[in-house]
Amino acid sequence: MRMRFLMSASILAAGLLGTGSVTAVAQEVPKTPDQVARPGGKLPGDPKIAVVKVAEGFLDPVGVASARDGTGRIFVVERQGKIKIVNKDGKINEKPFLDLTKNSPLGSEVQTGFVEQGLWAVAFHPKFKENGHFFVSYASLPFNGAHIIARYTVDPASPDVVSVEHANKTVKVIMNIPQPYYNHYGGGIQFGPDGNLYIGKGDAGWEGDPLDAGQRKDVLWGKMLRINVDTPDDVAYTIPKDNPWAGAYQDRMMTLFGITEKGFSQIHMGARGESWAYGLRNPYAFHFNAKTGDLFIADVGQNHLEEINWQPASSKGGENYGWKHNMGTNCHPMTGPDDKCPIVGVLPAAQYPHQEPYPGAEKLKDGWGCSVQGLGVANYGGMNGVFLTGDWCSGRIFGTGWDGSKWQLQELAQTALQFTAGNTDEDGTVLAVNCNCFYLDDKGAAANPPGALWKILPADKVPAGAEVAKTKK
Amino acid sequence: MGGRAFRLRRAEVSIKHAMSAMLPKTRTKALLTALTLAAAAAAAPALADVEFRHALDDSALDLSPIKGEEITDAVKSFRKDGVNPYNGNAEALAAGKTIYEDNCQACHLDDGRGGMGPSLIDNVFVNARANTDVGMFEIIHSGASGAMRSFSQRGVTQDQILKVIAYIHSLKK
Repeated sequence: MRMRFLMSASILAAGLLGTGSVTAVAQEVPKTPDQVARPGGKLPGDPKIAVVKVAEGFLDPVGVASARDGTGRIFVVERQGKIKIVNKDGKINEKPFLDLTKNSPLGSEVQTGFVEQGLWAVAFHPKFKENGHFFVSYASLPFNGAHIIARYTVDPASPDVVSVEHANKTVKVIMNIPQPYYNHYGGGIQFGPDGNLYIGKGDAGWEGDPLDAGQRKDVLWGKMLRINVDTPDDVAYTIPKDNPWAGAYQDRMMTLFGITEKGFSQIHMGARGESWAYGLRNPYAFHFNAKTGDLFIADVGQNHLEEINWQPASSKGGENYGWKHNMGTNCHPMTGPDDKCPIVGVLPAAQYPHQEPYPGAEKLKDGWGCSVQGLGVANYGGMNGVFLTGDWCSGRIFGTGWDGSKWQLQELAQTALQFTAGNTDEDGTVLAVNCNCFYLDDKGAAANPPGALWKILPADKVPAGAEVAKTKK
Repeated sequence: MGGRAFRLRRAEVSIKHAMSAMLPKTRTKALLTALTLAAAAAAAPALADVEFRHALDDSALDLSPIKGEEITDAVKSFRKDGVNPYNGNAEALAAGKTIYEDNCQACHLDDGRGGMGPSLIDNVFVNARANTDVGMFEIIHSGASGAMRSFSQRGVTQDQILKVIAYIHSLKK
């Protein structure tokens, strides 16, 4: 179980309200569809942000992370299979930190044939400074597109470059998850405040979840996974005992009497113990609030709605986010703006529509997107636990936050950027990367016009001379 | 980026842009003065009479030719009056169809009715200028937001953009 921070979250919420007349309510998951935030909301303090360029020239950057080792280095993940270091002064090291395109005489380790494939993410072990371990998540070429999570170890004598030789010497495969289709991998990885590795795992593809992966308990697809990677070298990982289905599937004697109904309900033969939460479609990017331990998951939606889920730090896991029965507050398949069907599992904290918000609807001119990418949780610039997301299609940045009594979703900027991912820097600043790699646009992971690394700053804290992303007036 | 001529043109466009906020009469007079001054001071090449601006923030567009691009007579004429000389031209439409299939149809679909990208054949315009050839040119050339990227950056020339615009018009029934 993750650290418990609910109390501090509610104190924060109360603090936000100050002496206002509204009574502060502890932050909670919406119970009814009307409590789910939608575009047009207002975050406390109406924060103003600017998107400031840090460095540019990356080939399809789709991930970013800080090692949190005091060096201030930012690691930008290029889809083709390279990780580049951006130093504190904004300069990019010429030699990649890791290069998976050259670690085999037969060619690249990374499958990039479809734009959703590639090297997606890097996550540094919480004790990286001591053990040098970092983890990568990618689509494997040798394994025909399977999703690999592997651990590499830095040579202390060469902190900025993990040579091919050293990479091959230290690599440890943590997971090899088969992938039937070339889309909806998920791919993001993060260490939680509990030290476990969380993996956003998509429903494995096609559309409409034809494998019923989101709801099935016997597959890793369509889940948020949670594993312990602090294991001996000959053990890839272990399942934390407090995962919701950790003990749900074990050989046991059949017992028909003497067990409570609750006890029976906890037996799930075939369930994968790695699962932490389920009913997800394509949770590519998710982020913990470093201040509270809460978890936000940006779950990319299908044709009409994007979903932002929130879990308090006190969660014991097991949340069902409803896919493929629901998308946000609506049904799947969606039939209209107020279609009626049972809400399966828990509701998102916020959602926003596509340009066509339901089949046959009039096209929206504002407030829409098509693919939500989590950037990070901001605790600065007047923002308190605000989850920033960037849309891959509309370039909009939305903030999801609690106003003391309910969730709010506020559009903070519309940029010309195609956001792919984000993360927080060592000092808590939210970073973002953008590519120029939309589906048909994709000329190949190393051939698309380059993307850039940005940071989200309060609008009144933009350094003189800094390049700021174009935003709609 | 760009040589001296380009920088001069940018300056002129900015002057024109600043003028656009003024009242019509004052604006015309001030514009003429500004342009005369700019031309006299720099002995600039032929001025771009149409003001091309970015769809998102109205900043002036960089219309420098991309590598190997020739600024054709059609483009020169379009820059002058905003009228696409390829509209209705059968040969240009055929070329535009190929450009459309290579670059546009995956998002806007083969008949332009829209899919992941908006419809190109209805009367809904998210960007107010997108119902004009100049507005379409601006968006295709330099992108708008998110997934609508700059196609100039992807190697599509300004002449090709005019041809694809002509083709998109032909999709409207």
